[in-house]
Amino acid sequence: MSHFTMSVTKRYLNPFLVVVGGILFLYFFSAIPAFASHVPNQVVLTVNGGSSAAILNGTPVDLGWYLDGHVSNCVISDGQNTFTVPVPTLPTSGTMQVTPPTNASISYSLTCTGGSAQPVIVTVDPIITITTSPAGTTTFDAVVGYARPLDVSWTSQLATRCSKVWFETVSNPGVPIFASSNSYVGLNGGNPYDLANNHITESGTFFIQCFNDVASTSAVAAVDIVLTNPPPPGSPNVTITSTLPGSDPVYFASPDPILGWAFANLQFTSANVSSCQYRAYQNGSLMSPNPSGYGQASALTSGNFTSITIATTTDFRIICSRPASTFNGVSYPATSSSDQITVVVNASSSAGRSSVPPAVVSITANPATSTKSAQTGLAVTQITMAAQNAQYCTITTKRLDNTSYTITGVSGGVIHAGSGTTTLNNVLISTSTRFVAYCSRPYDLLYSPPTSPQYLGAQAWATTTVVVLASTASSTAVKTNMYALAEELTGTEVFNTGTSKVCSGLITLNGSGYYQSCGTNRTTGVTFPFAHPLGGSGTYDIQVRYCDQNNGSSTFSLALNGTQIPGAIWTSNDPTSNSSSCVQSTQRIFKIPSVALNDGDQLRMTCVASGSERCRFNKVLFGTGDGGTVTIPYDPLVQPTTIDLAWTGDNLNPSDTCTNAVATPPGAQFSAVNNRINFVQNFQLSASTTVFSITCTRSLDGQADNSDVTVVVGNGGVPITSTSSISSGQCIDNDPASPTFGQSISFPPGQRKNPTTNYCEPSIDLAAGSLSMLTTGAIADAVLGMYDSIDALMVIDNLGPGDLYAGDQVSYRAQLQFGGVYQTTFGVNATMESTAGIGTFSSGIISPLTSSNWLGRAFDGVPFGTHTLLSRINMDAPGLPFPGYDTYPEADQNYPLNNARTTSITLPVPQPPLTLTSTQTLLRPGQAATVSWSAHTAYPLNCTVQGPGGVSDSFDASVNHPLTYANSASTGALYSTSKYLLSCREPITGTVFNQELTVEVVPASEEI
Amino acid sequence: MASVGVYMILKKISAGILLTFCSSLLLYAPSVSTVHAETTAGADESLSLCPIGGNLSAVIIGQEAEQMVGDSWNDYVSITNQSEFTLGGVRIGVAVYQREDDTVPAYFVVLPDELTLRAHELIEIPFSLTTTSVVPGTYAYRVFVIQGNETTLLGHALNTAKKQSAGTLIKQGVASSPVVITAKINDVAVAKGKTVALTLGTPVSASVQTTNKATLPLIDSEIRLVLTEGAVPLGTAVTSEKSDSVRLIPGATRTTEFSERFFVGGRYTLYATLHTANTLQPLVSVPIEFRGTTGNTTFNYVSVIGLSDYPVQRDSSLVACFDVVGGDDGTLAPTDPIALRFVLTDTTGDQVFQQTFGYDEFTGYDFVRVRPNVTLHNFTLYSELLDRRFGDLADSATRPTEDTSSNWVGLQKHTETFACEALDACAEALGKTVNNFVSEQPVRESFWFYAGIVMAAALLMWIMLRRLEPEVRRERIKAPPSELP
Repeated sequence: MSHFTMSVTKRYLNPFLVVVGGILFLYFFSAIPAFASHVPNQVVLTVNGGSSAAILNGTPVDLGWYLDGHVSNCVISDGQNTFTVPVPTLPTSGTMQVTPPTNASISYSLTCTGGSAQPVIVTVDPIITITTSPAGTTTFDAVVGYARPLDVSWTSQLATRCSKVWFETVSNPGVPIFASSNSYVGLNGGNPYDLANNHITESGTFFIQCFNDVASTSAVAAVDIVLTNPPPPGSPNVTITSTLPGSDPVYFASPDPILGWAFANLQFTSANVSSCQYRAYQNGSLMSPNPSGYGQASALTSGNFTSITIATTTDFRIICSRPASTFNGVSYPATSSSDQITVVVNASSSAGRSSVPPAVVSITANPATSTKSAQTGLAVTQITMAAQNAQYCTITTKRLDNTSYTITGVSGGVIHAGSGTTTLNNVLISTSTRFVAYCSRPYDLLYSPPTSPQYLGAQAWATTTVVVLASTASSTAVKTNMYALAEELTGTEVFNTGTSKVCSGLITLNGSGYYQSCGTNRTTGVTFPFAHPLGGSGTYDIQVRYCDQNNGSSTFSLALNGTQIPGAIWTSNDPTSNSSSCVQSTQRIFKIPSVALNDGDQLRMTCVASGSERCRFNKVLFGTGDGGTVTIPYDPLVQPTTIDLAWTGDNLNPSDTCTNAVATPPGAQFSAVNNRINFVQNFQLSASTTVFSITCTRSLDGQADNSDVTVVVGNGGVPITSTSSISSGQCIDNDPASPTFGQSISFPPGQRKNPTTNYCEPSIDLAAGSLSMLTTGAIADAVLGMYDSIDALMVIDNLGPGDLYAGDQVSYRAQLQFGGVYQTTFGVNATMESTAGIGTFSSGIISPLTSSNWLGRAFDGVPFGTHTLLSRINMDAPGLPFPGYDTYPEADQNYPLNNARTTSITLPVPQPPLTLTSTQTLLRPGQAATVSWSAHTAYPLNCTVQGPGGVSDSFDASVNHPLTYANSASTGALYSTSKYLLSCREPITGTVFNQELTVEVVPASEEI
Repeated sequence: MASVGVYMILKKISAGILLTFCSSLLLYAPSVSTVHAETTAGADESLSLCPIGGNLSAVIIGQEAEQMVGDSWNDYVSITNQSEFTLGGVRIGVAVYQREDDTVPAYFVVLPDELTLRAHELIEIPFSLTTTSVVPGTYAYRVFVIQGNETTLLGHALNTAKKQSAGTLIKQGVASSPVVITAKINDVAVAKGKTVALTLGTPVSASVQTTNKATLPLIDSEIRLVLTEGAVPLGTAVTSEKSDSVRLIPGATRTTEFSERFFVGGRYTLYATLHTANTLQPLVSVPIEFRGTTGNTTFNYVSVIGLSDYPVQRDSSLVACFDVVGGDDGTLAPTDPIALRFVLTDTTGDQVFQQTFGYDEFTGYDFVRVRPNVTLHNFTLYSELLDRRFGDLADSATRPTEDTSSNWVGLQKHTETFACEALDACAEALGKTVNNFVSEQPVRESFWFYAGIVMAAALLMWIMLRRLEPEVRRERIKAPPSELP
């Protein structure tokens, strides 16, 4: 379906075009040869045969050059190194091989005296690694029917994005099986390949492709995996045994004399199966649920069960199976195997249990009266419970109004020992609490008569109350810290980049990497650098987030450049810590205020671990500007302007939060919970002054603190984004030393705007180039002695250095200057403008060109004679005001120096209209004729007429203008051939025009 | 000249009458919907054929004489938009063939002009082509025009070569600046005219060498490699493409590497075209066949995108039409799971309209029409054909979503720039819209009245046209760059 018509229209027969063609023919073969010998300067630089090359990191490239015209002193440069290009005779070309620096793009330029080449750019393909774990091979698992989970990891450099990982099987190459998980997106990553969606059942290759959209490069990385097929799977089997007295399949267990239960143990192993089910039967009936201590079902295919609680003889049965699978072209059906043992419980008489002592329990609190902490609102106490003759105990906690109150680790279903003393330290309560201990012996409750002594003695209770008093001390003030120019080091970064490490380890807890000691009760140490965001220095608060578990204490210390920082020693022994794990509630922050830091300073963290604590920390924050102003320089070369922010709160409780209710500036809506170091990287600034604010509130007493940090972009510069418009005649000042750095300014002298970056840059110098007059198309007026359609041809020369960018407007004009005699004779002004006036050239002069194409200006009404033709470029230079033609900011501001050129042109006097005629041109001897003559010009033309017979006249051809001068005379009797001459002479140029007339006299003849 | 003027007036009158006639037919017949049935977005369910195309056809005139050229070829291309829509981003390609019945050009060039043509506008574009790379001899040539980039121009040329008559081009002299393009597929040199046979699953690595055997450098050039299913690189047929700069000193070679690993089987073609401004350059085509397999045979592409009014008014429509490469004649509606995305951006760079159509919205139709509900004079129109290539085959998504965007590949990406100032009669266009609207009303009143006028006028016009010289329309003439300003 086409929606256009198109034609190539023939014009060869058009007479007008024939004339134009003729003119052009004459133009090229008469006027132009004077310029044809001029070889334009040509400077060309190539890399691997193009203007750019994408290479593998570290590989060489071929630079090629071509030089012609009048160029010399040619140098290739990469900004650091230079290479002088030999210039023997022109034209010349050559090549050289260079190896660009690794891991970066680079540009090469070729600059000569007389011109420069367009630069070439070398970019490096993204560098990608992709690996699998296990590497190389993996084994098909005949039991589960596919390969076991395979980790695929990749890293990339010099890339801006990567595809998802995909897999291609050897039997179906070219058909991608893309990872469906979005976790497979990113420049770096690693995850088990999507087994849930794409089981790997044969050998193949993992691929990933990464792109650099800026450099337009890409690369693909691949890693093969070979899936080896195992032998056919063996028959499934499972075996159960027990260490109880007896032998397979019958074993014996005796009841516990106090608790009443028999306790069984069993072990099982299996082979060639993928999962097992556990069953228990009493009196032939399937138990549901299974007895305590005996699992329900598991993928585990072997294991031990201990302290299985049974009251009577029980059958234990385990069934193990595997699914169907196919490999090596053979299908194997699903199958299973089972084994069973019986544990016989020796009979026990409930009557014989009447002598079982009753369960007893006591519970105490120390202190029984405790005062709340002003900051946390919690009181601390210690609970001690002593129990005997019970299977287990629990503690319930209630407020004094009898409402339920659960204390983590104490109540809420926590099982305590039914025999012996249990001590619970650091029990935190916020209100007066009653602790009720309950111990029981379930066997008797299940199997003894309700009136029996053992039933009645199967339960025991005890109670203690802790009275909580309000705090009499004032709380520590909440302090909010809002930082700019912040830096954050994670535990992983400290571990990976640290030096002089002693007993160092790294562990991932709750998704965060923690630096830790290599063992308990050890001393650890690591040195790491401080990197100032701007490479400078400042006064920083250092905050370390560490774990304060309740199963030990660790003493941290921080030294700067080998010297202990005063006050930077702390111990993780907070009595309110309530867990032996490194979790949210046990994380703490230690703040070291106002430390003077320089970029590159070395910090050393040491820690002595005690107990089961491991000196764990996962964040080191450096923050400055809290409550003050931070000034950063504005660099227009780095856009957008960004800053790293951080905020923390001091003296808050774990559930407290920080937030800024109003997002100021837009997008800066912050919030956080306590014990966190909150860090935002590369926040984009959109104003020269920005205030960041955060408020932290302690919910216990409503105390709050707000902190601001004011970020000022230095130099008074307002960040200019790449989309900002730059006014005409302006560019962005990119001189860091300038007070207007980063601002849009009028062109400084000798500078212009780079069209790509909008930055100010040194300009080029222009000159008025070749100039000539084309008269082949001129139309002469014979009477007036003037010409129309005379074309002045000029060029604009680019003297460099660099290109005249397309779109940059350079005005040009042509003038004719006349001498006084012409002004008098023809009434013309001293100068004449071309009919089209001033032109504007905007096509650019891009290397290797050094001149514009021919620029034409036409004139009408030009008198004959010798005149001065003047060309002038970049018109409205100082002293030449031509409104509307902005001066192009040349490097050389001395515009009169080379922006004008003159040449002399001569236009011939056009043939004036002259006539010289006779009434007869053949006479018989003695006959006479009348000779007539005429001439007509608007300018003085001195004419004479001479001839035999007294014909004579002298006149100015312009005497009758606008009418023609005409006259005649008789020749008188003529006897021989006579010639008459009309001769006219133009007095300014001396040009003479003659017109001859011959009157023939033929001999008389007589017919005989 | 006078006769030409009369001819043009009569031509306009006749066109107007014919247009009125067609309008009267539409308005009179109640079963035929008009533009008033437009929806604000989505496919117009009242029509099933592209409203831009209608019964328009391409006409080539003026190629009857032989073109004798040396190292340059100077002439004019006349382009007419016969539709009622404004078409932007129009490009022109000139293809030169060894023989008239060839479909693959021996030399090809895409002219730099990117044109906007208003409804029924005719433009003549002068061109000046360098032909130094053309080996002396006698050739056939055709000119092509479509909205799109170099790949679309090439695809359009290959797709419609058989439907266009050709002119004769005689190149005289010697090939003074020969450029040689050769190709290797998987490290094996490809002989001209030979098909490369591969096994499905084998990745294709192409290596294209461009050599400058002239004594002058070759600068400011670009080689474009296009791998396409079948032989016509249009729309969904395009598997992948790559552009590479070429700047060669005498005797030097540029090697451009290109690889692709995902194929559905069947036949493919690799095209390597060299683009130098206003220069006819050779091209190379390499047929590739995957043994024993069959691939797709029909492919969808966007054939035209038009604006019902320009400048764009609140009630203006944006229409895109689809066409099919391959398949049975008459197959028009898209057959692939494709989507189409429009983005209108104003001069400040802000998106003022954006919409993606899924194929469920134009199933059974060969076009989509949307009313952006904005007024715009200067703006850019970006369009992108989206083809679903990866992901679960059972995926029923009819257009890209955040989750499935990586499964869709953008093809036939095209940006059209509309600059009101660049058009001679931009203001006139506004007035024209009003006139068209006003003229509709009386047409509704009588069918036979207007039918009679049309028949009489058509008869008179036919008589007069036979007595007049052929028309040469030059509504807008652009000076060639080589002319003096």
